[in-house]
Amino acid sequence: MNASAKLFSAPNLSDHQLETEMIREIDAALGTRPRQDLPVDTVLFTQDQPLEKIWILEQGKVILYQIIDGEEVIFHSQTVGRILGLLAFASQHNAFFSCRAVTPIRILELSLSDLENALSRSPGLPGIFMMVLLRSMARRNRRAVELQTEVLSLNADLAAERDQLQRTLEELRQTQSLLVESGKMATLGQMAAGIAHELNNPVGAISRATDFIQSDLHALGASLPDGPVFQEMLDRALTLPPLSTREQRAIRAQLETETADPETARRAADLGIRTASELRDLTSRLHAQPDTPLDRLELFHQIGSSLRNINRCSGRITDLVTSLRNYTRVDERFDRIDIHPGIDDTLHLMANRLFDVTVEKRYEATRTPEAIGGQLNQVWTNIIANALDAMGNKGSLLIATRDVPEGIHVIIEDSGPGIPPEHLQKIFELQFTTRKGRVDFGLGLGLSICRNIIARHHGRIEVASRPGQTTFTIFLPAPAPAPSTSSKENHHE
Amino acid sequence: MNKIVILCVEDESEVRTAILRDLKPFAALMRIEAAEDVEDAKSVIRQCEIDEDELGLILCDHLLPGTRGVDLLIELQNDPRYRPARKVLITGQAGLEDTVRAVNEAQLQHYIAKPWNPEELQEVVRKQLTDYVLANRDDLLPFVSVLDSQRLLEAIANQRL
Repeated sequence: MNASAKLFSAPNLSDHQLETEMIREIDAALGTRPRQDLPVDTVLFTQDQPLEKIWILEQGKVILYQIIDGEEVIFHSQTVGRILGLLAFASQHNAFFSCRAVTPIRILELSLSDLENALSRSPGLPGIFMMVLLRSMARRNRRAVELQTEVLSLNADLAAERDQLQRTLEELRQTQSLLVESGKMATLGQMAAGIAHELNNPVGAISRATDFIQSDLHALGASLPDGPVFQEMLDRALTLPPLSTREQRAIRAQLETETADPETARRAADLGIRTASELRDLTSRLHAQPDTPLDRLELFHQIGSSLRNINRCSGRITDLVTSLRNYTRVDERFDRIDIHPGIDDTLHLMANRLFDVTVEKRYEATRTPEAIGGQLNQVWTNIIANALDAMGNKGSLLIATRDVPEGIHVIIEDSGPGIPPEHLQKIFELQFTTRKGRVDFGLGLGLSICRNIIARHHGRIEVASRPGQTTFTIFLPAPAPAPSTSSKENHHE
Repeated sequence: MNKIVILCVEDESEVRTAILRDLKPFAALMRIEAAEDVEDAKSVIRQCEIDEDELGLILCDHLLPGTRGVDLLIELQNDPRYRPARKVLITGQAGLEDTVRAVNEAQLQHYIAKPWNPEELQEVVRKQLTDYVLANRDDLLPFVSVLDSQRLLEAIANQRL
């Protein structure tokens, strides 16, 4: 056959031409065998089954597939070729794939002896057969390489997706912790606001009651024989600034040299009496029994000093309650605000930790950022609390504000040991590393919350640190003061 | 003069005034002094030394500006002159760690939490001062009227045996 003679020198012969030639040669060698016409979905052979024949596909299409984990995975459809089952057959293995018709097919079924007969009878057939087989193998091989490449790229996609999922999961965890934390803060804030509100009435009543007692005592004093002295002692105790224990001892020593009576000197000094003549003047005006004038003066003084102490202490409670109420404002609205009262309230509420801390305030900012006051208070609190942790509640704290182009800077600087450079980039991240059961310095939730809040305000937070000086700089956008009252800025949230 | 001194160390003047007033029942027999910080307390103690009065009881706040109350108590405990003095912490803000130090290193005799109750305060002062005079004084009779009379009278009876 001239086709077989030119097999390798005529590579332009199409697959179809070669296959037709092969079938023609087989028919010529064996006599035209009857063809089988099979419907769609016919399974010619199944995976792992021993094969005793091969099939020549004359018309239609089949696929080669495997069942992997219950799923049908197609390995070849365009690359099946015309000769089916030969590989397994030739290598004495069971079928590697299953084969199913995806269109109606027409096939020629051959046993091993049929094939051997045909190959020996037709001198042209072995060459054509080999060529068809070679081309088929080449196609399948290319397909295998393609599959491998596909697997590699799928793997890469999968890895990317897995990383993305990992990041998403991490973000979710962070968001969850932040939500939990802000939920806790909100609950605490509501409780604090409730307590502040509840305290407000009693402390207000206490203040008023002391005022009433004071005026009633004055009225009562007017009707007493010792009234003028009583009123004078009362007013003295109410209005005199409290003396330090040092000053008190100095006055006592002075009185002691003047009166030469340590007991009298001590008692008189406690009443805020500074000189012997003052004491003589007061006692001379008393109508009381001459041997107990100091007792009487002491009584008058104690009433006044107790009232004064109630006033001062209820004033302190009022201030605290005010700070607490301002601090815990649960507003969620952006407003143009002066940030300074919020910082002061925060410091006021942290006073118990500032005992050994020198606080220097340099408030120079005049611009008013668009902000949620309550949230900014959380920022100040977290940064200051971190600073105090780092300093062991001892050292100095500088809080400075100033106008900068497009906004303001709030600078919070502590004299603590500083943040190690390797931590500096990580302090705003959520880290749950704890040391000795405590959240590691600067690495808790606090700064991560700060970063989120500042981001909501379209601001920036930066940190610089060296031993002895750690500086947090917060930028908040704020418009320059309007040139005239009628001009209006556009804000976006 | 040889009076027994009660020293109250408290930085807030309102609180100090109130404690001093609650200590008045002891004023007839004891010298009552006040200081607003540790340094001030030390100068009071020096002055008492000069006057030849002896520190019998120190009532000390913990949270004071500068040196903490517990550190003053420890310092006094380490000085043989003031070791006999009874030491009481009256505070709202001493953490566990500081309190443990006060007990272990200053032989703290009592801890009064703020806000204090005046009867409790007086009872503690009475008991501590009774302990002090029993350990440091031979003539107990003058204290019977102000301190724990029962314990003092028993001790006096035993002395005569």
